[in-house]
Amino acid sequence: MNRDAVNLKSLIEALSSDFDTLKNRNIKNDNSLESLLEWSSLNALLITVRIKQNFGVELLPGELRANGTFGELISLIKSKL
Amino acid sequence: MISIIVPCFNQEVILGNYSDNMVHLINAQDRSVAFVFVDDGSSDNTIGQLQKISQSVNAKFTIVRLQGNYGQHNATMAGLSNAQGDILVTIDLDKLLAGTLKQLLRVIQNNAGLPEVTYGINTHKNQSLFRSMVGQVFALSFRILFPRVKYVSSTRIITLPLATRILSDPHNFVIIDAIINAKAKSFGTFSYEAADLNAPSVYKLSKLIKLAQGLYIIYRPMLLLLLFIALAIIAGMLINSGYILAAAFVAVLLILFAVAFIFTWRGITSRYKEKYKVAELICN
Repeated sequence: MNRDAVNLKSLIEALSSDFDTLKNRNIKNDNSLESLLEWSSLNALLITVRIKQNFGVELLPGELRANGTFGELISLIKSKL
Repeated sequence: MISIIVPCFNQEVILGNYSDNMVHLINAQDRSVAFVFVDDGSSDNTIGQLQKISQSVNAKFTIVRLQGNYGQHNATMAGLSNAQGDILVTIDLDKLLAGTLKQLLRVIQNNAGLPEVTYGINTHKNQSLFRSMVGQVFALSFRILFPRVKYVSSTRIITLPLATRILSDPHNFVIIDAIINAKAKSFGTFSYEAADLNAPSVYKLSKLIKLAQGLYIIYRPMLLLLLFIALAIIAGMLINSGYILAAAFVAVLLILFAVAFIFTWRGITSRYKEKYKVAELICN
């Protein structure tokens, strides 16, 4: 996948079917993941699955952090492409 | 026989993605290990994914499909009532996938005289300070209300005699650990590592109100009242000492219990009191 295709819009599209909290919101890169995604260990697992399905990137243990931001997650995905 | 009980709610995506891992994990166990998956009224195709896994495994695999979404504790109770064996293990799906089962079975095999209940402690807890504080306050509240349970988690090893006593509990609103507190004769803990999937618990306001209300209604009204008074005193002391943030935090807890009290008083309770109903039982 092209690195440029990984952005806030595509990340939100990848996750919005599972998280209603992402719909109709003005989300920015510096928003924390925890503030908008109902954070639990199962949801963290669901997010890693969606990232793998949509961007072909497998996150390693501990890489997905609740207190990280959307921007940081995008950078992480890009760094693995 | 050991039964592994796993409650599931809307896990189609995870089960679909990890179905090969799941089949491999289940088939790696010997025939003395059985699995009970409870579909807690999922709105997605969790049941279809479970059936697919069921067809590929050698172990005894039971699916309990509930009529609606009754919550994790009720779903676990449904799993307990449909499980077989001398030892019953309750575990979340993510912990199962994280390889915790191997560690759990080792604990069971290496300890002939297990306590009636043994709670698993994840040694890779990595929570923010705020969440840790919230967690600590609720753990403390729980310990005051249910002093015999020193540590609570959803990973539990339960012996058959205790499971039988748990299932005989007449209350509809279920907090398994509160029932365990009342009925278990011995308690234990063990440590495990599930670093890769670890994430902090969610403390949503609605969830806390529901919990406070359920506790208030069913289990220990007098103790909860005392806790309410104690919190009010603590809040007052904190304000006097200038710890405004801490006082605000305690005030939130006070409001929770007040809401729980008002809900109970006004009779807004029925939807929290329904016990699970099994729609279908599927065995391989």
